Amino acid sequence: MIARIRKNEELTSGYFLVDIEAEGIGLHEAGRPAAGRPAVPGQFYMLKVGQSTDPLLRRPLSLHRKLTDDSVRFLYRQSGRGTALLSRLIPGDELDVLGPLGNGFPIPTGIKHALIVGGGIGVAPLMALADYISDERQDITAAAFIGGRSREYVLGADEFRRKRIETFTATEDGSLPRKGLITHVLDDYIREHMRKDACGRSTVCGWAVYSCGPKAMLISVAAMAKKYGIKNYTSMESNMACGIGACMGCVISVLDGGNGSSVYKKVCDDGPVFDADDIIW
Amino acid sequence: MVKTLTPIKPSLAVKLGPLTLKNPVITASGTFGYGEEYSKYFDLSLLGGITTKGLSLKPMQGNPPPRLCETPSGMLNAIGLQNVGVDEFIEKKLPFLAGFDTKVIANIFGNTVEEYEAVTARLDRAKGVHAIEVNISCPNVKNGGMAFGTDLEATYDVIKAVRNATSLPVIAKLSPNVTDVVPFADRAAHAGADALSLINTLLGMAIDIKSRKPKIANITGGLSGPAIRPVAVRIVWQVYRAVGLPIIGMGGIMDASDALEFMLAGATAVAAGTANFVNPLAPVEIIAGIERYLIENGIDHARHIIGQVQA
Repeated sequence: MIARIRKNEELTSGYFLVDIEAEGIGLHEAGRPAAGRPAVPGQFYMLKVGQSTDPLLRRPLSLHRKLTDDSVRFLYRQSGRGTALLSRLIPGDELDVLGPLGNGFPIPTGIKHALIVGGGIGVAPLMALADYISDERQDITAAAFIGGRSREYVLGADEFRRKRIETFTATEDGSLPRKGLITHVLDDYIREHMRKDACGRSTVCGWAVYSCGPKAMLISVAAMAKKYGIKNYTSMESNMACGIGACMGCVISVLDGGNGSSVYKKVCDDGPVFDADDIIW
Repeated sequence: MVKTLTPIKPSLAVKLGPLTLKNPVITASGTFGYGEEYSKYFDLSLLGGITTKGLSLKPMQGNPPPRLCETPSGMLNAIGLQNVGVDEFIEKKLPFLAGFDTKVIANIFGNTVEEYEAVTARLDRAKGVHAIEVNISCPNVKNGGMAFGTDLEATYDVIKAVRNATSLPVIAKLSPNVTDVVPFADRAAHAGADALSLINTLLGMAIDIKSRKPKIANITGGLSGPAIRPVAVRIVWQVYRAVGLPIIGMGGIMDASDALEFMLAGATAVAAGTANFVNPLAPVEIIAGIERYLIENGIDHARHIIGQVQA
């Protein structure tokens, strides 16, 4: 569909927020699975920036916030030529958009507490999850853990707090406490809150960790979640050509059932969200 | 009295030897899955034909990631022919495709001549397959693929074996990664191919200068997209002049004008490949654009533009 830029502003050096609008852009398109239903947190869109064949391919961007049925917001990092071109678009400019695509974050029955863990640009899809939990799931509480290189790159922490989500931060250079890695903060939080209830069941049952960010962070979060017996769903990134399951270009290696063998799964339509336990890092 | 001329709707039908297509637009192998993904975007019955993802005797996992990267006006891929295998295709994917009014071209490959033969025999018995496209030109697998397509006698042997294993039309998909494609086209013709697909991807490579590593895990990959179009048009033209077989032209076709360029060079039909990744509606837009061109130029039949370049 053809969408129009409403706002496109630099949030911090190299990181932009773009609002785009088109009729029904926040809903599944007619003829698509779940047609007419709202986009789900964790889903993404494929954006074609410009009419030229260079860059040729669309750019995948996670849904950051569904503003209305007809407008969505993306948080993106200017990392190559496509996103550089995107950053130069101004209100009123048009671009071709496919989506929403992919599976989104699962919230299995019984989940009571969501730990949202983001590093850098990884906050992009997690904000949509936080929006959904705070707007529509009074039965679920959440805590957010946001890490970045330095204070400018700890994205969205204030937004999470505005939603009354308890929010922890970490920076590698200490420009925003706490100095160090966000995974350490997460580890402390879990250990502090882990109790056994009267029946001897761990209080972390009913918790789930939702993660997105640099690979090293995701690996460490996945290992931690496994250690404490908490489910971890993680949103993965990959080079993509089509975004709709045809090109087979975006695969990652995941475990195939219980027998230890591996298969390639497509980040675009088997994901982008995977059970972290299944990912072969 | 003013006479208003209503343009006559031109006929888009073309013939690839024994295979008649309702229009010249096909989807290229490996860019259209087994059709399901794109059926959410348009009615597949609009297509002249659908070429499936390459099929092998046994399922294949494909190459490790990263499998693709973007290049100037193109992309490099080394998917490694990941596919469900011919048996699962026949059982689970073909019935879906058979529900559409379009020609289903099964693309096949193997590690040995015998494998090509065995895959063909199974498809020959399956209902709903209209032609076999023989991939002897994949640059991304160790055995088979391009190893056959860059050797004249191996080209002949594979096509001959497939020819003997089926009564379906046989299309040979040739590699551009040779000095001259014409002798290969000629060998394929002698082995009994009914048509040729030109071209598969060009072998390429891209390096990340920060990590100093190749951008795709397979190190080299197949280059596709508009970047290769002039090479593809040139090869179609050379083969058209030298060999009598109908040609499916492909290589960076993004829109109708690109498709028409191939037809003028000598292609009877065209295939949209990488374009499908960028614009799922590309093939239907190409069909409409070809029709518009014929109307605007007063041409009543698509076949009348084949090879009509004034060179």
